[in-house]
Amino acid sequence: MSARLVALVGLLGAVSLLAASCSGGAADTTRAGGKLSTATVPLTTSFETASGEWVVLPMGHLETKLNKFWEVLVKRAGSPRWSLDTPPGVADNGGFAVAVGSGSAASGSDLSSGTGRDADGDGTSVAMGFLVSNLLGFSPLAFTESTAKHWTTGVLPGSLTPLPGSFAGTAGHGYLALLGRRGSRRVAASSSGRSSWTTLTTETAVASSNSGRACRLVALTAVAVMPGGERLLGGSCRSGRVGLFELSGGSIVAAAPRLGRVAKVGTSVAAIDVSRQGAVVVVVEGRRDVVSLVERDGSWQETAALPIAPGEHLEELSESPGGEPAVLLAKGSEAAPRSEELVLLDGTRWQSEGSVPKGTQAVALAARSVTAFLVHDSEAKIKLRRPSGDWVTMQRLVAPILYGSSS
Amino acid sequence: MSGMGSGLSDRNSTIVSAFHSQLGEGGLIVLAIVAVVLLAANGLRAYGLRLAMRDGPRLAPAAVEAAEPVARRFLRISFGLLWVIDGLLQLQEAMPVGMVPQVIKPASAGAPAWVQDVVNFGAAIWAHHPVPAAASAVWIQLGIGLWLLAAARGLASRLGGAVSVAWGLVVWVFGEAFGGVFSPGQSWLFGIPGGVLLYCVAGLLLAAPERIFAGPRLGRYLLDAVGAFLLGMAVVQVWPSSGFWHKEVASMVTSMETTPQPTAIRDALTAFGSFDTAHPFAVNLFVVVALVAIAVALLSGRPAVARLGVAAAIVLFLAVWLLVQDLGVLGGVGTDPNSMVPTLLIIVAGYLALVRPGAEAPPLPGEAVTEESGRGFLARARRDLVTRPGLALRTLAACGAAGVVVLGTLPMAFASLNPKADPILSEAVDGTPDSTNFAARGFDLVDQYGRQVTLSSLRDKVVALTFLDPVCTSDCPVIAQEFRVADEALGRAAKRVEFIAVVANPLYRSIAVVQAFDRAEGLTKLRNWLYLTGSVSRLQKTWSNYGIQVEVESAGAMVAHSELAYVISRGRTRYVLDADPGPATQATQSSFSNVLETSIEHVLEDRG
Repeated sequence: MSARLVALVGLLGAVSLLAASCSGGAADTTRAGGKLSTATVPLTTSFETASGEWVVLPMGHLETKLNKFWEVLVKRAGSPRWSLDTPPGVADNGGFAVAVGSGSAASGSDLSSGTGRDADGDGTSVAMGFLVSNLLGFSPLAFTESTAKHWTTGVLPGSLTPLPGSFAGTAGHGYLALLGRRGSRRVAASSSGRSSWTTLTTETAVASSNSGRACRLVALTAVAVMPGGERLLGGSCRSGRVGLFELSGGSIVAAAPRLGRVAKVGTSVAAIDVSRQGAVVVVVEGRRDVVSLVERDGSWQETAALPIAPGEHLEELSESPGGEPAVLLAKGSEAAPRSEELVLLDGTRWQSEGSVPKGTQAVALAARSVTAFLVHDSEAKIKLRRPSGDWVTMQRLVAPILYGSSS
Repeated sequence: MSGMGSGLSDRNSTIVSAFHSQLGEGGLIVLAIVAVVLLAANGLRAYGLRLAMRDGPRLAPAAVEAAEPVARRFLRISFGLLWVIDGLLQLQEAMPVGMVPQVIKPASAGAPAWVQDVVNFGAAIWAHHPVPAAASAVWIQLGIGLWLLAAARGLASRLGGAVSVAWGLVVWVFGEAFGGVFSPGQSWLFGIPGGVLLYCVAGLLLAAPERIFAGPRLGRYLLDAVGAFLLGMAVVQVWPSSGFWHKEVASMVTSMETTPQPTAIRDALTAFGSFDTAHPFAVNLFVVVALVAIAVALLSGRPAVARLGVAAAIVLFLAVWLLVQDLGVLGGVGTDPNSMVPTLLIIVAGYLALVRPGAEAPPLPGEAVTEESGRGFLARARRDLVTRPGLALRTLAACGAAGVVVLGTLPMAFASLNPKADPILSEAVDGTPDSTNFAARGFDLVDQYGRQVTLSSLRDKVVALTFLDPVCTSDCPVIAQEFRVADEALGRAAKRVEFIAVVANPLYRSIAVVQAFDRAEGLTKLRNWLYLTGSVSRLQKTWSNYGIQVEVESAGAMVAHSELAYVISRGRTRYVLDADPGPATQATQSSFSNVLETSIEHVLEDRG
């Protein structure tokens, strides 16, 4: 073989190898299974208090981060109309984590986090934690005890973890906040919520505790304050256990049983709802099934699983008037859901409440009614379900969104 | 107002005007170079004539000089013209601002992190100094082109090739992100290994001793190399995961259709895009077969077969140049005609080197052995001036072209050494600072530590004052960083300056909030940084005194407020700056910091 041929073959081989190694752009780089990810849980939520109904939902240009604004709509008790009551003063493109609970300093009973509810208007506090967006480096807070007529402000010593259950508490029992990014999350507490936050524990500390090791903690995902003042933390676990811990006198104690079902890819606590009746912990298994753990008088009961099939995703995690979780389940791709279905936890079983109008962004549940919110840019079309099952448009609400204001 | 983000147009009139001005100044220097070259040429000619009359009969005739090898001449002229075209393309007025976002960033998008790091280094230099960088690119590329065209033989010509390689590598690395070689999803159709790498190949051949063109060996090597490369590219096209059997080509064509261009070309692109979308498998199969066929023909080493390969390459490459690469220069800020034309030129040069090789061991200029050869350079130069006046004049012209390259290189070299962005960027966004001298209105507020602060309490310092919303998500953190950078740049002089922000949000104005802002922005370490707040009425009075409008917006928007900065000394306002960060790039931030620092320095000088 001539030297030229050898050189040629070598050159060809090298070029082909290089070319082939550089051509893998279309290869699928996502890795399925084997590695637990915190489930994607929506920030959209609704809840009912004694003084009104609340919905927190995104409006504007939903596909562009800085032109999507999260709005708070409130229907005060006795009023037939919804009003725009978004806390002012901060760009809210990142969304909110909501802490709801009856219990101003003087009263105090219901306390919950994420999708929780309370008895506003009569000693109620609703607190909104702004999730950071764009260049904001910490989370401001907005508090109301007047059904959103007046807001007061506060600030957290860091960025709220962008999960619906990252903020909880009331003025009467103090607040808990889950701060920071995965791997360096910490739990901060404050009696008033306005300032003077102190760090209670860190993700690392929880993971290295006996309970954290038993659940093989991946990340902290939620916080809650119980009616008696007990502080609960939720997390993602690789084992079949539910990552629910109680912070008690500086120690970390497991507060929930192992799931009866075998969790193949771990569990993640999405929300911890606290009410007079007890606590409801919404758990997502891997990226799929939703399970609830219901606590009544100190004993836990596991509900049936709500299977979420491929092509389906949670669009809203709310609370039913009975204090139990409600889920708006979208079918189809995330970009183009084909239909949405409302599912409520009834006792220990998930019960379909039927479909909602196509394009529904959020659903508000009151004791006697279901309201659907359809968003198109700055306009929310609000539809009420009649007893016959028909949907009737009851209101159009236009939010004066300032597009481009966050750029 | 904050949060209404104003970008920096690539045709910003301030930048374009400065670019034209710099080109004009450079043009005058080029004219001076031309004048010097003409004068020198005239002088040399006259001197040559005198020498001829005096020494002509005694000078031995130069050895008969072989003609420049055809392949070399082809490479030199064609790539010289390409450099000239590239230099002219650099004249586009969008080039100073558009180069980084429209050319450099897209080229490195998707590349490995280390490639992006390298490219970002060059991009930062351009972005920080857009006007001198763009003007430099014009002169360097025009200079190289003229150099190659002027210097046909000898050391001057070889140096031109070497300079071509050096600048080509700069462009290939920083402008083309290594030609996309390390980026996934690339192919020969899209331009790898990068058009400018082929300029480097041509430059290397021109920089090499001319004897490499002797005989057909170089031609064979060139065609072999190109053939092997095309076979490698065929492998990429065949590779299943590369996606070319589906619609990767169509997506590129579709994106090209959107660029501004003549209707006829767009129609051709649209037609081909539709066809490729409908028949992606057939198109890719054709490309693979054509590449393999051309490669085999080039690798054959037989002139007759290679000629067929060259002809097929001309047809295929020109078709790809039009239908996939959109001629490389249309739309956006095209900087070169992409890879197809230079690849074709290399192939043709290889073929010419194969079929019309240079003479074996030709007597090269400067190497001709004459009886004067032992008498040194000057003697040879005198003889050449008499016997080969054309060579002297071409060398002189090459020196002039080299001068044009230097004209471009020096500003770029100086710019790359300066980490501060040019003030022109800030002026393009905000205008020039207003130099003023009026009484500054007082304020009575508290700082982030709860201490009372009034303007009169700061009389012994120069005050740089602005208004920031502590929970603003866009502009205010940027302005704070601009202040921090200006503070640090002042060095020891910063001790005589107090950097102050006043809260511009009537709702979020607690000390806890401003402390949170300071922590988030890393301002707690600055000893001369104060973030002032107070009651709503005191804040409103301060806003009013300084012309700051503050509006609480609804529906989830941040508070809107005016963005101004003041430089105050001894109770007098000395400068008023528009502090809108505009696109808030690193370059515009650095530029504003530079302008603020300069304004403060002027005031410090006045204070003595």
